[in-house]
Amino acid sequence: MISHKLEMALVMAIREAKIHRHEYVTVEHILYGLLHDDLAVQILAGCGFQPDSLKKKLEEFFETNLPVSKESKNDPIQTVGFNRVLQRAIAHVQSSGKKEVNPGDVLVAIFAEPDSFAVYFLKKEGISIRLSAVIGSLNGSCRSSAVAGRTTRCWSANPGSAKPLLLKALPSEFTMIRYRIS
Amino acid sequence: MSAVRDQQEGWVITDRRQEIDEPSLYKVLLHNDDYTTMDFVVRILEDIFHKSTAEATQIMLNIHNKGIGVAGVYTRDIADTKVAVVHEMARQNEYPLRCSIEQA
Repeated sequence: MISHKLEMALVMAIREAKIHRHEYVTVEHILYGLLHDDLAVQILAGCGFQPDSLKKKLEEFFETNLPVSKESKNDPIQTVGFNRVLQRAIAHVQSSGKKEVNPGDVLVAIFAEPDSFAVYFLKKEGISIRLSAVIGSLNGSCRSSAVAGRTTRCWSANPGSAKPLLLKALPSEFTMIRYRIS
Repeated sequence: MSAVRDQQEGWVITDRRQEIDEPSLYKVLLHNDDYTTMDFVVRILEDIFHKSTAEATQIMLNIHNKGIGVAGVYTRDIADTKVAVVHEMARQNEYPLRCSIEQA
């Protein structure tokens, strides 16, 4: 159900919370964990992100905004947002008939979290991220990370040359782009 | 929204870049009722909100006297989780304690 790479990313997320004795594992931890995944980093890099600067921002956020657990033996608890993101990603994968949830699906699922700092950090960097993330994750599901990088770059740098095939799958809330099908 | 005529390929409709505000923090509020004991409220404040006994007692008295008290200020995700934990703990102990969030 959950791909090995996603599992690794989630382990990294929980490890980060444990090391710093955070009381909770939050949506921001998921994003932090995803920064250790090639596909997610490639999608983000394709959208013009500096994974390192995002990592730094998240670390600052962890330091200032997260309650720390007093007893070191306590395991961090998942927040309701953390669970919602994973459930959303799983529901999406089930309804689209795929077998495995990959890091790209989770990246997309993070975007539906209102008021989260994870979304704030991402949105601050640019408007097209959600769409690009969707495209990237769709391509990623075909196990071609090179394509993911290329497509996202194409669409941001030179929209005219991007292939329109993926766009009909997107809900209307996304930034709309219509290409003439040639 | 603005529509731009792409030179070769048709229409491209884009959202204009919007100002993005930092997400606000949320206060977690505890509400007074006539059945939840003072001890239980103090325990909640100590265990879930990590208050010292003195702080917890002060907040509990605030709730008792004013009907409402601020247990802490957190990000939305964490505030929601705290509310869920408080409700779960109150339900287990059969108290009708109510907990809510409000934008800080």
